[in-house]
Amino acid sequence: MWCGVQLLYYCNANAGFKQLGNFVEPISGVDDALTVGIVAAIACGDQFLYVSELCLVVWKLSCKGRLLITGVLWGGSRHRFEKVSFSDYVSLTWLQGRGMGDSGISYITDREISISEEFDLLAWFWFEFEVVLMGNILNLNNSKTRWNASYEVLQGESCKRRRLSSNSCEDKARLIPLLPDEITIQILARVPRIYYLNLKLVCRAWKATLVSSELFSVRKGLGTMEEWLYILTKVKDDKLLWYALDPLSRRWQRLPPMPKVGFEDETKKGLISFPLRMWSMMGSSIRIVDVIMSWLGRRDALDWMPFCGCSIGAVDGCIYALGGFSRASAMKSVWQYDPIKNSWAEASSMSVGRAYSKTGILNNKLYVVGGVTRGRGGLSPLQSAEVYDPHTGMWSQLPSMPFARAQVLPTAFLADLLKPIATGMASYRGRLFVPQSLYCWPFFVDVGGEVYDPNINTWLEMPIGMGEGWPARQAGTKLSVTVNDDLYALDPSNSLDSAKIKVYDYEGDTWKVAAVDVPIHDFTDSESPYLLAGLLGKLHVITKDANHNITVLQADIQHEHARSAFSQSILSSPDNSITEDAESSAQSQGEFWKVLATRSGRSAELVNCQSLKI
Amino acid sequence: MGERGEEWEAVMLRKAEEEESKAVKKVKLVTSDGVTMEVEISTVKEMETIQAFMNATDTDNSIIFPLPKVSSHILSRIMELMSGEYDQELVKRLSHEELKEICMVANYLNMKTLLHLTASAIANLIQNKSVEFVRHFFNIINDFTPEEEVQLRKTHEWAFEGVDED
Repeated sequence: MWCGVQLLYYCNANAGFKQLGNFVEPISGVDDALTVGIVAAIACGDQFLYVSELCLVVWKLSCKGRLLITGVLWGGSRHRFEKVSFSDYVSLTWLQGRGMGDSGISYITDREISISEEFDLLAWFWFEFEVVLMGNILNLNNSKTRWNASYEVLQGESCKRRRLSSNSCEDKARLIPLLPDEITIQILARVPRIYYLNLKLVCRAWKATLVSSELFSVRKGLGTMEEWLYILTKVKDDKLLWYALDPLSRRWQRLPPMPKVGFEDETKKGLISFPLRMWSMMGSSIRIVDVIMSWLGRRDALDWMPFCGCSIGAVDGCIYALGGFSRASAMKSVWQYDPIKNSWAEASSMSVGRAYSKTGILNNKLYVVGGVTRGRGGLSPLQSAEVYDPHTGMWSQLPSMPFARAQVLPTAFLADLLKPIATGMASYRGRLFVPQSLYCWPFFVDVGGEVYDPNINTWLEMPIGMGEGWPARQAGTKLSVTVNDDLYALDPSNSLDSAKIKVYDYEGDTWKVAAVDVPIHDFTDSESPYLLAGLLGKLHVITKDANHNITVLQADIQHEHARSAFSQSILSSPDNSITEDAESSAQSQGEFWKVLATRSGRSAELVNCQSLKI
Repeated sequence: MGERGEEWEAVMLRKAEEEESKAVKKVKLVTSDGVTMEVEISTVKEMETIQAFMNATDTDNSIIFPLPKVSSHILSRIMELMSGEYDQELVKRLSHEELKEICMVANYLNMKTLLHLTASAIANLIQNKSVEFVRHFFNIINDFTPEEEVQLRKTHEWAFEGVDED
């Protein structure tokens, strides 16, 4: 079964293993190509002992004067070897060797020998050992090796070294006794992620493995990645709290609280200089006003909730919380939640402090646009934009939004008075679509929007139909989302109509009604009564139901497309009565909205949401 | 080396074709308890480790492949699963010990379907169980200090506290 070969090697501590002359004696047809391969591998720093066509022993000088067998390569073909770690299927037994015992070679463990300094440095020695690979017995006798280096082995230290050596690599505890770790990881990668928190309690090694990127890359390879929905809520005492929803088990899991930051060096004076009027009454569709007013009206403004007004983005498997207010100042700081580790860490800061900025993802980068910051006269809106690359961890500046529409105001007086502000954001067709508004107390006016194209690094004007019809503008939250390349937005209810979902028709540059009667109940006194999200390739609306529970509603997308085409054809008809018929028939089309999950949340208000697949 | 490799592969390919034309080869699997099981070569097709060994070994007729860590009991269970086309019901009938052993052998013999099946079955078994069950199931020693464990349990309970389940 096995083939032996005599190899003659020359070794020194610096150069490692070199083959001497033509001592290869093929016993049973050794492929020359393999020999070349071994020599090449040796030149690369790994050291191999050739055993047979199917097996290579890997060794290294573990410390001066000691030879440690670190593994066995077991190959399926002559050219490819897969590493088999020792403990799994291989055992090794030293049989005998010339020079053993009195002559200066002693055994330390079953895989390690030491060569004493008395050993004749120029002498040849050989040793014989047996490797048992499951299914094979490979005899390694006649592997003659000549040592040519000076070695120091101090007798008094040998005990200590043995202990160190065994602690460092040999006896590493397995995740499951008797089961190779690679199998354990194969098992854990098939366990739904919602159970990981519980399994972390099994032992230390499990805890470390369950937060390892190795496990999650195995999951990726197996296709057991899971997409979860992460919802940011404001709970009692004005605290922010994240909930993760696993849509398959429909179980909710709280995320660790966001870190407490940014309270140390803030002063009170910023509050006093707030131009309150600037923020009042911008119109019902811009709720930022109400939100900020409500916070300003608090008795103790110093207890502002941390991260109020922060923006949320999800990129490269992590959630980011960007800026927000800390007391009176807008923060630059960025916090990153890693769902693998289930923990928050600080990421590099933005170039300016921003609250209520808009975020979007393009090409696996996180774009941040606009928002407000604290300038000399109090809060002022930002036109600037920047982009975060999660791979480099660096921010780069983008051109500022031109607000071209604001430049053509009839008088300098008006231009000075009207402040442009970004009131939405959608990442769509490889570009960022940002609807904009101008406001001046007590008026506001929507002025279309602008589009950032990363390929030419330039802002362009938004298509007119898109800008004029953009259903809801709000500075803080998430009322539009792109699902399967379609852009959806929620048109809130008014005195005449219930809330609708609209989808943007790119070819016709128009917004079409995709769904009517969105079952939204609780509108009052909430920062964001509804949020949109894409999850599992479907559109979802997150809102609160009649019992004040947080509800995740899933839209039937395919159904929706059919209806969208249908209702559009009717809506374009001049006869209004038919339109009504169409809408009522749409209602009767049955279960369009499916409740994916609910959780009690009487005291919780919706703030933001993101879906994330890892 | 690359050129040599290609040549070699061409040789192997020819060899493989020749082999196919030959009469059906038999493989003898020798288990840890000394039982020899003679199976047709098609049976070991999914055992990629044996397959690779046979590809690299030039022998005439029957191949003897010792499996010193596989008992005849486990090997016959594996044969049952293979002939039953990996029916989930068959997997459910396995004892926990059998399941673990078969999973390990599937990994060694590089049997992808069997590994997936058994790893999934074990994952299903442990996923919604208590920590104590998992420790007992796998014979794992809890190496957390009591304080650490209390803290971890607290964190865990907090994460799911007050959460309605559907």
